[in-house]
Amino acid sequence: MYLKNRLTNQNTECEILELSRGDLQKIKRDVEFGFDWSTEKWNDTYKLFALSDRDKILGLMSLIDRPDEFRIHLNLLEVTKSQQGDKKTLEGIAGCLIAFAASLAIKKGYGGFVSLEPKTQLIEHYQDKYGFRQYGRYLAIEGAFSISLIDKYLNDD
Amino acid sequence: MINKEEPTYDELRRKYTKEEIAESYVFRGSMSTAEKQEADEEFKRLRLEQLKSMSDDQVLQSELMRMKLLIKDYLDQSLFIEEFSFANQLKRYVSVAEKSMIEFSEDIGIHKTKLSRLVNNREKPNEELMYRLEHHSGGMIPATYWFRLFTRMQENAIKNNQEKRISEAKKVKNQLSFSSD
Repeated sequence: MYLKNRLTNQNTECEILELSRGDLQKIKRDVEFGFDWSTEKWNDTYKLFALSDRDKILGLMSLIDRPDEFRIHLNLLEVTKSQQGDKKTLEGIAGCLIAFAASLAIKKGYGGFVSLEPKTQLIEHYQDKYGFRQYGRYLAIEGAFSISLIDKYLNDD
Repeated sequence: MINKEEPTYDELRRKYTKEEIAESYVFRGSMSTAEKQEADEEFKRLRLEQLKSMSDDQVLQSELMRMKLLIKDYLDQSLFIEEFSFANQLKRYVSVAEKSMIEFSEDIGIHKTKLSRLVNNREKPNEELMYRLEHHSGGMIPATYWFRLFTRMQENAIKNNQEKRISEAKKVKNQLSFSSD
């Protein structure tokens, strides 16, 4: 998968891997991340990094598998501070992570169903940007929307 | 031990637009236990309704994507796994597409006997077949995936066919040799 550099218009190849215990220790000291990720250690946690700099984590995500409801719940996602707002150079870090969650939900046979509990003020943006729709107090993406997200962010065929 | 002050939406909102926050964060849930219980019950009901209302086309599209992603994961590692042989994946594809062998052979313009030989690994696929499989899946599973499944299987066969290695070696003259010094 690739992230587009907004300044050079070039693609940066990146990868998503599970977080190790060492990563959690490092993140705890990293000022680039504000959340306490050690509280997510019971969940499935992932990091996104560029292949050109494997030590620099660009984004983190915590997922909860809910096989009883055929879904994956996105519990927490955070992009590194230096890639937030109008100063960011790389496009699509959160998109790649959400698409990765959708791909896991496809592989598990959940039809790509990924849920999250949104801040009310952000609902519209999750809907517009990633294709989520409302399920009561939660938002979820599934089926064709998940597939198009995977094609947009992960497809490198 | 470093205790972090976790960022809140209101703090972030002073620095970033809503869109920028949505592009950088999904926050942990903040509902109370009672609220969460109610929201979860409603969610579960809506989720099960959504599952029941899925059309056959939606299920097929999702299953094909699942097959594609699993093949991709397999191709991204270097081992040969029998389940992912060309023949077994072709068999799986026919099953996912919910076609009989006769229907599927007609769909892709080959004789049913040829299809039977392919899924039983008694005939090697040609390039034309791989393009036809790609087209049949609506482009979902690329021809290159089928090609790589086949070559992975071939590589494994070449690696492990000692009998052929010995018999072919007997037909070779003037083998290059190198001193071990």
